[in-house]
Parts: sequence; structure tokens; C-alpha cells
Amino acid sequence: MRSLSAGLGLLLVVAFILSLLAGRVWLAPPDIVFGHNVLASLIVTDLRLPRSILALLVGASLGLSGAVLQGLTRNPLAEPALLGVSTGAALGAVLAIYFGVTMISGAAGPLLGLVGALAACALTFSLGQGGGTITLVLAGAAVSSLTAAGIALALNFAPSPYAAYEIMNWLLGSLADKSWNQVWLILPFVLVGGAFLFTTGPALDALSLGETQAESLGIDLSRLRIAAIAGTALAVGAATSVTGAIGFIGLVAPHLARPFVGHQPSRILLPAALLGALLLLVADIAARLVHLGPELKLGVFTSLIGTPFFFWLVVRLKRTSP
Amino acid sequence: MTRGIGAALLLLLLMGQAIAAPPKRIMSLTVCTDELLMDLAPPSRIASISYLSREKAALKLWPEAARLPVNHNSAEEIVEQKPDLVLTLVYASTELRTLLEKSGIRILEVPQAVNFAQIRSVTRMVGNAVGEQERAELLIARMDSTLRDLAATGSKQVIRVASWGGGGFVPGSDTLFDAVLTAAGGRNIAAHDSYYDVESLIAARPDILAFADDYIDEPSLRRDQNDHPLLLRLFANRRIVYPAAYAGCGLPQSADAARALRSELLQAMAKPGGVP
Repeated sequence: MRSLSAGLGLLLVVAFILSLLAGRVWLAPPDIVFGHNVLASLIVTDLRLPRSILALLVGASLGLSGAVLQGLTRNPLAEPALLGVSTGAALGAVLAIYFGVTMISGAAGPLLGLVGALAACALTFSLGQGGGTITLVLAGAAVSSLTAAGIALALNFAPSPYAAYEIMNWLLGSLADKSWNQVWLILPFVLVGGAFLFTTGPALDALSLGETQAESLGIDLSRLRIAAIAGTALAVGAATSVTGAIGFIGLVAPHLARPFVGHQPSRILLPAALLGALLLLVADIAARLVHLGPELKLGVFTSLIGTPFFFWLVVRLKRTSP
Repeated sequence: MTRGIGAALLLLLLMGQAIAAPPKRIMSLTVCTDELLMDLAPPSRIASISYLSREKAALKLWPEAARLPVNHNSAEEIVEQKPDLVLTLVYASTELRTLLEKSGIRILEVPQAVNFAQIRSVTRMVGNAVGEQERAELLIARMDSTLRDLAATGSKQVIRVASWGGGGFVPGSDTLFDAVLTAAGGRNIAAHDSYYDVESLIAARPDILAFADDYIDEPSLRRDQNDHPLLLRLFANRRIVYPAAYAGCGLPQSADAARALRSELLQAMAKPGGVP
């Protein structure tokens, strides 16, 4: 696990450096390094750097919470978007932005995103609890549709005529033209949420033996659930409130990590976070480099990566399940 | 003698009406035709205008829109209001056209004007249709004299301008904004309609960012992009606001918009700012 994490860390550094080169405007590497060119340094420090850091924060949040949720539900399909957390957060942020709450305080977006994520998460778990994993996934699908409808409704009645057009941003997700403001806004939430999620490791290991076994080992399951839900809501809720809902990273990252580190949930957490960050950063570099008139949304890219993976997952499940 | 002239005049007037009775209940379905109509015909002959003309930005320039009845571009309202002329933009309502042709109501489809030559032609077109040819010629003459004035007093300084605030969309050369900007003496950074993100915008090195005054105060995602901290810093003194109502629809007043824009451009250029 350690060598995997180190390797991923190295890849992340490389991707991060490449991401500073990627954009609609070509900047020569010497201009970026030496900072003689004012325009180049403005573009790098005020536009590309915060964007890349946001990609890391958001990707890591998604990957980590995907790993935790998959461990918690013991379901390979679990991820923040599937459980309605992402769209719940997007709904909260949409309400905050379009109805002027963000004009009162800048933190209102992440805060309402957080509330939306918490509410969606709580609804999914209370609906799906006790009925096995299929019920949980179904409950997540129901909550996702409900919150997506809520976003559409909110944008329908939004005072700005651009709102309908901007549905796309919320349902697809984008990192375009973000600034340091957004980084500082979500950083505390992501750090605290991430800390919550990392603490679940040992309990998730015990849970992989089954609920009764875990309880006999002295694991407090309700505390584990609260940590997982609160951590996801904090990290993913804040991230989504800034970028819109970005799917599949949370689903894919833990699965890609598993073959390297085995199936012990606690060993997947760090690699999944790193892989999530790497995947989102690479997807964002690709989104920046493809020029097809208007910006290609980041969420489209992650969906393009994620959907074939979903197919593969279904096929594999069919083969392995009795 | 005077009685004779009076009778002759009355006769002429009656004849004129018989030849082409000007429409008395004119209904306009789109904002651009609303504005041309309000410019040309008295309120007493306007049956209704589009509800969109009651938006804040439009009301600033056509306050009478607040008192006129409105429609929502629907067939049912046309049936209810029984107009004798319906004004709409070309392509705006293909279904309506068949309905109106069936019911025998006259419909005038006005093309969107994106330069001053087209403004002259649509102003004449609507002026003829509503029986206000003289008023139309008066407005055109006033517009042309403003344009001549602007051309005569232009400076040699190149002022690069981007219309920003449309979610990254920057209008290019075949737009009304470009025509107004050129008349004002500015140079559009975009050769054709294109999308810019913040980095390609600053790499294009505009001197001034121009915002339309509609919806700039409404909360939305594009507000975040318009108010990116980097843009606020570089263009703190170099942001100007132009009336969207002038730049959205080609009207005789577009020349006044160009004059207002020129003075805003010069004022902004006197202050420091822009991409270093």
C-alpha cells in the first residue's frame, strides 16, 4: 500500500505540473517558471493554480468518500452520486446561489450544499436501512431523482434568466474559471470531512466480516455510520457546492485501488483518495485541452470514463455472483 | 375661401384613410418590435406589447411600457385582443403565422437588425406598416446625424473592448454590439462570436470590459465568472456598463447608445488598468 501511495503521489505531482501548462492559452514553460511574463504568471497563479488545487480537493473527497461508502454498505456500486449526496449538495448550493443567500455571506453556498448533502444522505440511509444493499441503492436512486427534480424546479423559478441554461453546470460539474476564493471556501470543510472519513478505517475492516461480527468486536455501528455520512456530507457537499455534481470518480477510484491493495477497506482509503484526485485532475486537463467552442464540461469527461467502467462492473458482478 | 380649403383638406384626409387606414390596434409579440412600435406609434394605437418589455432594463428607456397592456406571445391572446396588425420577429412564430393567415389578421415579420443599414430598413418597414412614415424618417435622420457626428470626432486611439458577462460568450463582428462599438470608436477583441474563459480573455488583452445592464445584479453562476477576482483586480477601473436594451435590438436609438459608449470608453481609458 505504501509503495502504491508513493507511486500515486508521484503521478499526482507530475499531473499537477502538467495541469499548470494546460489551458486555452499556450504558455511556454520558461515563462511559467521564471515569471518574467506578467500575463503568464497571472494566468498560472490566479487561474490555473486554484483550478488544479480544486481538482485535487474535489477528486480526493470523491474518491475517499466512495471508498468509505463502499465499505460501509458493502456494496461495490456505492458512491456519493449514487446515494444522492452529490445532487443533494448541488440542490443546496443552487438554492443558495439563485435565491441570493450567497450575497449575504460567501460561505452560504458550501453551508447549504452541506445541508443538502446531509439531508440527502440521511434520507437515503433511513429509507434504505435494513433492507440490504439493493434497497439502499434503490433508495439512493430515488433520492437522486428527487434532488435532481428539486434542482430543475429551483432553476425554473430562479430570478435569473440564465438559470435554466446553468442547470447543465450543476448536473455536469465544471472547474472552469474558479478562483482562490473557492479554494479557501471549501478547504476547511474538505479537511474536516476527510478526517472524519479516514477515522472509519478500522471500523470498516471489522464491518467487512458482517454487522453482527463487527458489533461483537466492539464496533459502534451507528457511530461509524454517522462518521461516514457526516464526513461525506462535509467533504463532498462542500466540493459539489463549488463544482456541481461530478459523477463516477467516487465509484471508480476505490475499484482501481483494490487490485493493488487487496480488499481490506482501511487499506483502500488513502489510495482511493489519491486516485480520485489524479483522475479528476487528468479529466480536467483533458477538458481544458479540448476546444469545441464552449468549454467541454468536466462531468462529461468523468462520465465518459465512468460509464464503460459501470458496464464492466455489472458484467463482472454477473460472473462472480452465484 | 378658408371653408373651401378646410373641406379640401378633410376630403384629402378621408381619401388618405380610404387608401391605407393606419392600424389602430397593433399588437407586438417580441421585445425588439415592441421598442420600434413604441418609438413610432402613439400608445393609443398599441393593443399590447410583450411582457418582456416590462423588464427593469427596458423600462429605463421606455417607461410607457409599464402602462401598456402586455401579451405572452400566445395565440389565445391574439384571438382575445383582436388586433388589426401583429408585429413579430422573423422566425419568432411559425405556428402563429398560419393561425393569423387563417383569421385574416395582418402580420408583419421584422428581421433582426444587427447593423445601422438594417436599422434604417426595419425602421422604415415598421413605419410604413403602422402608417408613421414621417416619424420613421425623422428618427432615421436623427440617427444618421449622430453617426456622422461620431465619425467626425473619432480619435486615433485603439481601444480594445470585450463584451463580457454572457457566461463566456463574446459577440463578434456580425452583431449589433459590434456595430455600436465600432460607431463609438472601439475595437471588438472577437472577430466572430466565440467563447472565452477568463484566461483566454486576459490573453486577448482587452483594454475595457463592457457589461450589458440586464441581469448583472441577479445572482447566478455567470456572476461568479464575471466577478472573477483576477478580472476585478485588472479591470477595476475598466468596467463599463451599456444599456442592454439598445444593444439587444437594432433601433434608431442605437446611435445614441454608440455616443454614450464613446464617452464611457474615453472616461475608462483615462484611468489605469487592463492587462499589464
